Amino acid sequence: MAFAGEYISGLAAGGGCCVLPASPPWRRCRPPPTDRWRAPSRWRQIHLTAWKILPGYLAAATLLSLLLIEVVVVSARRYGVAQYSLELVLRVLVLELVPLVTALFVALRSGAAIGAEIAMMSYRGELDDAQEADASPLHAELVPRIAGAALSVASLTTLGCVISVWLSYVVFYGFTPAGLTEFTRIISNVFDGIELTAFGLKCLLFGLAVAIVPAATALEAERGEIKSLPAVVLGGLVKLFFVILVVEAATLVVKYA
Amino acid sequence: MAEQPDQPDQPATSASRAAELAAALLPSNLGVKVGMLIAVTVMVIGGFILYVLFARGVFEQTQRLYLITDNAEGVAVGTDLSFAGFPIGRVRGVQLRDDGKVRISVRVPVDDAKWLRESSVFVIEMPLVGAAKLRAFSANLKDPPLPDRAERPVLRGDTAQEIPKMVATLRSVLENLDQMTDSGSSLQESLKNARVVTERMAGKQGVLGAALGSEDKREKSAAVDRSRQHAAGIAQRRLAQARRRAGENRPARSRAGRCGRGNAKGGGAGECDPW
Repeated sequence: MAFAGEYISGLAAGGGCCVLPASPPWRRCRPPPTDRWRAPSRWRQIHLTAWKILPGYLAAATLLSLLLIEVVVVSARRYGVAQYSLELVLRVLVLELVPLVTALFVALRSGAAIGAEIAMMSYRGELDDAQEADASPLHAELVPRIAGAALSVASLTTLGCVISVWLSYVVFYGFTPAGLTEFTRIISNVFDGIELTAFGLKCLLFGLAVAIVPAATALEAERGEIKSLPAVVLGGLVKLFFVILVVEAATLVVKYA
Repeated sequence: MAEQPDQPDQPATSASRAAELAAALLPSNLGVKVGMLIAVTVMVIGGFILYVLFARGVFEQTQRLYLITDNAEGVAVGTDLSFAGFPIGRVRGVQLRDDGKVRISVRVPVDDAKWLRESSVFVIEMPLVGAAKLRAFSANLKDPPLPDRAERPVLRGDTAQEIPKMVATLRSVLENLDQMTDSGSSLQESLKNARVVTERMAGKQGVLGAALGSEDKREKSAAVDRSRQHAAGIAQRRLAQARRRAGENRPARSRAGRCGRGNAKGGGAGECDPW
């Protein structure tokens, strides 16, 4: 757990750390095998976390958005409050559900992988060896992963929200610009300064949680004790889900309480 | 001894093989793809922020309108001011003044300010479902336009406040209906009588039977008629008897001179009638 504090303190210098070379310091003495391996670690992280799952994520976001929009529209028309349904869709789907689902999606796809990777490094003692060699495993290995996961969450959330907004317009008005004025008015009602700030802050916290919590928990793995690996990896995921729910609840309380 | 220095190279060899395998799995244009993803994300975020700013009217010229009311319940920042069902402005602030009245600050785009005139009336409506609505009514669009920073009173039409009055009125109406339809009520009696009359009219006697009343009453009236006829017959017989008696006694009375005196006074035969 000593590294957990270093993770958080190291995030303050995350921007500068992102420009560090990808190869860990304790491996710099060895020549890199190929030029591809020189690709920044954060790029590899973004590629693995965001780019490779982009088609599946976009398909899932489209399906979820269509289902929820249809449910809300049909229910609102049945109860005679159809004039409020678009605002309800934007507030519930775009501002709340899409970021939450994206964070859970990336957590399942990459959070567990990051945790397992860090746990294996702790099990093999690579982090301790690097510290003894006066190298900084935090800057070399962990911060790029954290920055990459946070950027991935932000990118996927942005694309998912754009798809949800576009589908909302299409479902309500069809493929015509006739409803653009009304849609713009509702957008201005929903996305005020406070909402946008809370939305950005929530996405940032989700991204950091997805990257930090599994890695920090994985550092509890004991060196040479392979039985500790499943416990710390699963424990990291449980903590991650708890943190995500706490962030979501906190933003709801701040906005609506 | 010669093999010992080679032992540390074994993990290095396996690590380099793993690195080569990982490098082979990575795409050659990794940076381009990731750069595209980040660029698209930044462009989308920037474009959406610009769109929201445009939607909120940051780039258009507006004029202010202050609405004064006693109760601004339901009105919040962001509430639309609508004219003929179209939103033409938006509430930007709600403030409680020192005199206890509420000042609602509304921003109206200059392009839409043409719908607001000096004679415009502003109303807050509280529907049963949904938020409060600010409406503007301009009866004459040829009146002078509403100036910037104008203050206007706003009327309040609260549907929720009308409900208790409506329920009280409805309750009294229902009580009246209950009394009217209760058994023994005057309406019920009237309906019963009307049914009796219509039944009589549909009976053997027809409309005459309905006019004459019930069978018992008709028998009673017939009995009365018979008794009257009987009494009249008795009276006629008595009268005839009396006249006969008077005819028999006339000579004797003439002799006595009583009737002659009576006749001389103009009393006639009736004066001599013992009746």
